[in-house]
Amino acid sequence: MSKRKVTDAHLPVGECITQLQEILRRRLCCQQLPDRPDGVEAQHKHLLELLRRTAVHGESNSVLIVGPQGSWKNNAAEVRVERSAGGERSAEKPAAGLLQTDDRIALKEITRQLHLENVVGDKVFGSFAENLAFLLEALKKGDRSSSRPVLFVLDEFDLFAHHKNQTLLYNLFDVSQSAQAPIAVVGITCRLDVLELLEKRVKSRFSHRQIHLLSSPTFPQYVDRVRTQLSLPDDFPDVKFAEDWKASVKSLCEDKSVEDVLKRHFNSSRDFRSMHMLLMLCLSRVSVSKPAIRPADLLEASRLCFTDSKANMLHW
Amino acid sequence: MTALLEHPGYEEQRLRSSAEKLPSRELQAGMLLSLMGQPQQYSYPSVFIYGHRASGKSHVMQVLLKELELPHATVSCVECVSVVLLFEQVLLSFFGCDVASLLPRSPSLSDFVRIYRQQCSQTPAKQTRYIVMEKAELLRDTDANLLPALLRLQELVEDNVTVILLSEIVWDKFRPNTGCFEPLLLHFPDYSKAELQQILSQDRHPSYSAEFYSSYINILLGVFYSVCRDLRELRHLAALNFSKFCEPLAEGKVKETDTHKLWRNIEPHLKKAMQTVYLREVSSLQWEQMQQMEEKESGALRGLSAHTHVELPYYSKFLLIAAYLASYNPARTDKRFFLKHHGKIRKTNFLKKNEKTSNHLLGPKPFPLDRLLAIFYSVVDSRVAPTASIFSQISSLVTLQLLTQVSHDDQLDAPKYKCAVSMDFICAISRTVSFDIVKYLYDFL
Repeated sequence: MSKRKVTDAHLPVGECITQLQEILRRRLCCQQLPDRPDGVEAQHKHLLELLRRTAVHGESNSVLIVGPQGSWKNNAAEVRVERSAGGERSAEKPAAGLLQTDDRIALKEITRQLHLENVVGDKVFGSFAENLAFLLEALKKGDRSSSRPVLFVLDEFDLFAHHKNQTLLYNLFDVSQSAQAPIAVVGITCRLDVLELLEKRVKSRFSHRQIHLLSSPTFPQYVDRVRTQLSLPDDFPDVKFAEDWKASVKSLCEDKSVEDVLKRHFNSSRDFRSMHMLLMLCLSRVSVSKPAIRPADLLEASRLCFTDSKANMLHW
Repeated sequence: MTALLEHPGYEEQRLRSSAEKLPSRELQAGMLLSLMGQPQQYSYPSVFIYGHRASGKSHVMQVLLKELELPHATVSCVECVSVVLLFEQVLLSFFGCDVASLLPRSPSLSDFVRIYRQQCSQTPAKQTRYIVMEKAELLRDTDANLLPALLRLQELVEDNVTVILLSEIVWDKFRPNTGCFEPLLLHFPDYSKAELQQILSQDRHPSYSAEFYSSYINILLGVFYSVCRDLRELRHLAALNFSKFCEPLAEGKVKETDTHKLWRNIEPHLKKAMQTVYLREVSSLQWEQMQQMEEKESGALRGLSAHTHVELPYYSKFLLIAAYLASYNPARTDKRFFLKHHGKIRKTNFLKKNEKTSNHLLGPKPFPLDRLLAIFYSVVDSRVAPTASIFSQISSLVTLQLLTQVSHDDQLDAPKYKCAVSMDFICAISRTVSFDIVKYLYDFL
């Protein structure tokens, strides 16, 4: 019954292309990654376990996720937070180091997100010292059994370590070590030497748990990733178009010149961001008159990615 | 001949009018359009466009955004001395002045992102919003977190927004130390000679025919293309020299089609103009007046830079002469020149050691201030009191770049200087004070 409905639905080519562009653009530009992580399952499981322990058992934890630019760090944190929401619901608090350049701003953001009592609407009252005292008071009153666990996610952790005195980090880690309200502090950074940046007293309160997301795929896995990123979801309305698209992507990935291009990209960087840039340039050429990605498109896109900008600026 | 820009998401009429306004930039405009996609689709979070001055970067962006009526905010980083101006401008363009006034007194990036996020949850973007930042190289001098945050703005505010950076400097010079989100790089190449011809012929004067003007542009490009490819400079030159070109036509001596005679008329003037391309040493009005004057006196071709008369006060001239003597005479010969009673100087010793190389060939040597003052007092006829005005004249000579300070700024009690003028200049100056400098120079003994 549903199959009949699907085979009847046959959209005009323009509409198909529009939908295709919409789906793929959302995936490539918003940096959406496939749900199933390959190569990093162990790390994800570890993180999930830690968060579950905080949420369910009320254990305070702190962990640092380290990985190069363009690996799955943010995504990992978000996915795990979602998945661990079973059991006790925890309040989460993503704070980006890029935005909160100062401890005062960070503290205001925390108070705002936790909806503490000194927040009215959007405005946070009181000075930095008052806010800090209030937050610590609020966290201190709880204990393992009665209060909700709070999850702090600190993006760009190394930038927080550059704040004056590292007060925020010190206080958060202090709370995580003492028998107060259960919190979990997850720091995300791309620097391997981030522990050197921490002061002695902060470092001693940190649990020294680090999760390294250093996945390094082999070349066939890389080509597989390209294929999955270009594939359409199963519920695409026009089945025939989806089939054609899938076949064209498959033949694209098996083409020899395309393989050379992908090998070159693989050798220079293996992360998702550069792959997305390449695929985005190819995708922008897909139109009604050319409803598939040709090898020539990929070659052209690769040339654009690798062009030497200083040589371009010379007057010929 | 305008190639068509085609894209399904936009009206054909608008695309055609855009294409007419963008001659010889069809390739880049087409690329931008394909990246932008249909208005409701997502686009790459940040795009970096680079190219030389006057290569059409802002022009293409403005034409595309205005003709296709896409929501955009154009910010010039030169105007945004503080980030609050940038935030206000963006919020004003997208959400109106009420939202812009929600920004607190000295907002941080965190406040901006929070307010933006609140607003776009109330009014989500139906079409991609564009933030165009011109002169983006100035973003490198602001806070270190602004540029990486702007490149990832789409992710931070969770909205369909694209940031486009326009700059004359390549991306390699922008990249922060720990890396950031890499934008898509797009290059706008220089215009070729034919394209310049096509664009410049569009500003033709209404009272002359198009072929006449394009033959003029042809001549102009033939002369100036090898030195200058900047469209703005070439337009300025074309406007400046056109009246000269049309002079014989106005006087009735030649016809419009007589290109050879016109060329012979304009050639010397273009040659003269070549020496002052980009320089703007005089204003355009003065330049035209000079053209008229030079015709009457057929003098030698002199650049404008030769007109440097420097009038110095009396004691400054003597200070300069003293500095020249201090620079080009070795220190041991001072006794002989400037003391009334000097002993015998044994010439033989130092003749063998140094091969009597002329000090003038070696360049000026540094000398301490005391030596300068000693020579100065002996050179000046009258008794001069060592007042502050004498010392301030030394500083003025340094500012005029006639003397150069060689010692570090920290050493206040024994500064060292070097004389930076040529022999002709100092001879001219010493002639005005009737001082025979050649008698005092060691090289001319």
